[in-house]
Amino acid sequence: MTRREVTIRNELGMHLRSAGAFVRIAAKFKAQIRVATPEVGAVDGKSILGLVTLGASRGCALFITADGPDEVEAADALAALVNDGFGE
Amino acid sequence: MSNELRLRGVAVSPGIVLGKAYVRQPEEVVVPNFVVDASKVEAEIQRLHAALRQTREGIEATRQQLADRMGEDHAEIFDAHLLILEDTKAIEDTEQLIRDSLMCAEFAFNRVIGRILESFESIGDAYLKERRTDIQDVRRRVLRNLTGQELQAFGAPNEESAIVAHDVSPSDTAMIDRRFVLAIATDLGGRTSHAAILARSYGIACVVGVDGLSAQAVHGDQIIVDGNQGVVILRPTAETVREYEHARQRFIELERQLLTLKEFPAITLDGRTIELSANIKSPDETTTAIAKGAKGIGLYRTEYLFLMRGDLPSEDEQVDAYTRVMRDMAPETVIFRTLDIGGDKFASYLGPGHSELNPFLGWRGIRFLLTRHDIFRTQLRAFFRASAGGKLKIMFPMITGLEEVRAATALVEEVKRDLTEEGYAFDATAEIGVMIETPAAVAIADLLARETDFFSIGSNDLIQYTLAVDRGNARISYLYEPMHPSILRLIRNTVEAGHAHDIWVGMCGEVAGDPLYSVLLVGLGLDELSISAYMIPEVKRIIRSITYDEAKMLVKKAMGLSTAAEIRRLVHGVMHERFPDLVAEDRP
Repeated sequence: MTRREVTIRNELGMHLRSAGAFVRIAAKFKAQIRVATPEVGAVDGKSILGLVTLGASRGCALFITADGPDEVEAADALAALVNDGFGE
Repeated sequence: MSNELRLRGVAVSPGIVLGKAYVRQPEEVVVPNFVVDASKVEAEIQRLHAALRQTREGIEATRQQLADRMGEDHAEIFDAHLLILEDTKAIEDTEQLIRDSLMCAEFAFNRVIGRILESFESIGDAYLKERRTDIQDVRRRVLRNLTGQELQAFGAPNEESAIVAHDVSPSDTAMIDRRFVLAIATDLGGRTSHAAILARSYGIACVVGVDGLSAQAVHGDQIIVDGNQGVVILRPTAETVREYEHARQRFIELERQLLTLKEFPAITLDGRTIELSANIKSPDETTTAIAKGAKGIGLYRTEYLFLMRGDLPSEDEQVDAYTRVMRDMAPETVIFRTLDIGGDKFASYLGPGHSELNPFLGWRGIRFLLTRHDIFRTQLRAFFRASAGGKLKIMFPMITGLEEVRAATALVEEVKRDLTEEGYAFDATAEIGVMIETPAAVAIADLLARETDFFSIGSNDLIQYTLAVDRGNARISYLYEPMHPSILRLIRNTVEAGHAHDIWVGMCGEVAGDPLYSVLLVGLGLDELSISAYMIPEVKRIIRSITYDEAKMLVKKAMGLSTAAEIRRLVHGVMHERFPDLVAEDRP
């Protein structure tokens, strides 16, 4: 299992477009992805509906866990996406 | 015996409308609840999937419709709707409820989505919380398809009306007929709600966040929507109607005055012409630029072409986008800013980005390009290939030294040579300029001016680097002050250095488009202002009603003052007195 802790940096936070970008990348990996915030328990990282219920706004910490054959690549790619402010 | 009702909300799109209310009650889809026979479970699941497929087609059709009408930017939301629709977790949960609890598809799906919506209650962030309307939107579509209920067109008023609704979903927005909808007023929503975005792009009045409006409005009521003040009045008295008729006339007159200026140049009463051009970030925006009377494009932020995707756009793709802009704007000039990545703009595939401790002082702008010749060269080639028959100008961002300008210019020359050899036609006389956005660039403006064709002052970055202030940091954002004496001096020095070497000096950035600063900027001697297209009519009107002499006088007075607060008081006082309809009395 691979874990990454990142911080939401884009202005609007984990809204639909950013959650959508996350899901599209997560779907490319075999690993199971879980995402949690300090306030809300883990949700499925491949589910846009799960991600938006996190209500993760700018400055919020995000814990990404990947479990599976390509877990390191998956965790790195997703952490990079969040770190880059979802490219916004 | 009037029962006039005056409600306050948030003004999100200007305009004053007196008309009839078209009240749209929240659409309730009746959710059936029946038990599925154990032998029919698989058929029920098939029925669910058929409805999901049908919904997909519906969303795609709406997406296309909105893209045609309002542009790709507005249609993107439906990509997220498709992801919601195809959320594996939600579909699996629904299937499981059908299988294990023998619920019908409607009831099961509604329950799964209902649980998700419940967890939105605890979200504190207003913008994120509002995203639940998108989920509700998708839910309604699926339930309608499952139950075979007709898609109810968002109020299709066939006479001119003001739409009154609890909320406006993205799907609703695609169905609003511009011919009949004069204004929108909703109970919910903020500046970023779908109603607000739609209204602004259609140019119709809109007030949102009007608590309790739709419950109190009756279909056909007389209504006043004041998108300037954020007021909605139901069943107004004759006196109120008269009052608003006047206000509306004044507003229309102002709009008309501004639009009649479209064909005229931005020239002062004593004959000094200012080039008023538009800032754009995508080719779609040229339509607005032209409609508002822009004299060319003064800042094409090419990075958006790179940020909106996961890989590098090819040379041909870039040529396509750039050609569209050049063609639309011909015979006017287009100033392309080379890729300005870094700072607060990143794409993960382009570089390390946020791993930098201090991205604004890091690998950004020209620094990035000069280490990534592959990207830089491709972009320059695309600029020139798109320029055949047009007027091209190119500028480099984040310049701090002459070496950068020389290295970049050398690459430009190389690219021109290559393209000539390859037989491409292009604008060989293209001017090459630099952005002045660091104090270092101002300090050596005399040196830069000798080797470039123009300057464009990037006010946002120049202010943040000079005053050492991050505008996004709430504790210190008060320090971000365009009227700081240091900023005025830097602008003046840049203009003087440029003019001493016979090159023109412009400004792009928010300051350039704020009517409050227009006289000051003219007085400082700027030759060009590149601003949001929407601000062009107002700024043009100011320029056309002043003399260069009086603008210079204002600058002289401002330069004699010692603090930002004093300068602001002076400028604000003068501007409000001369242009009370464009510059409000006081600004916090």
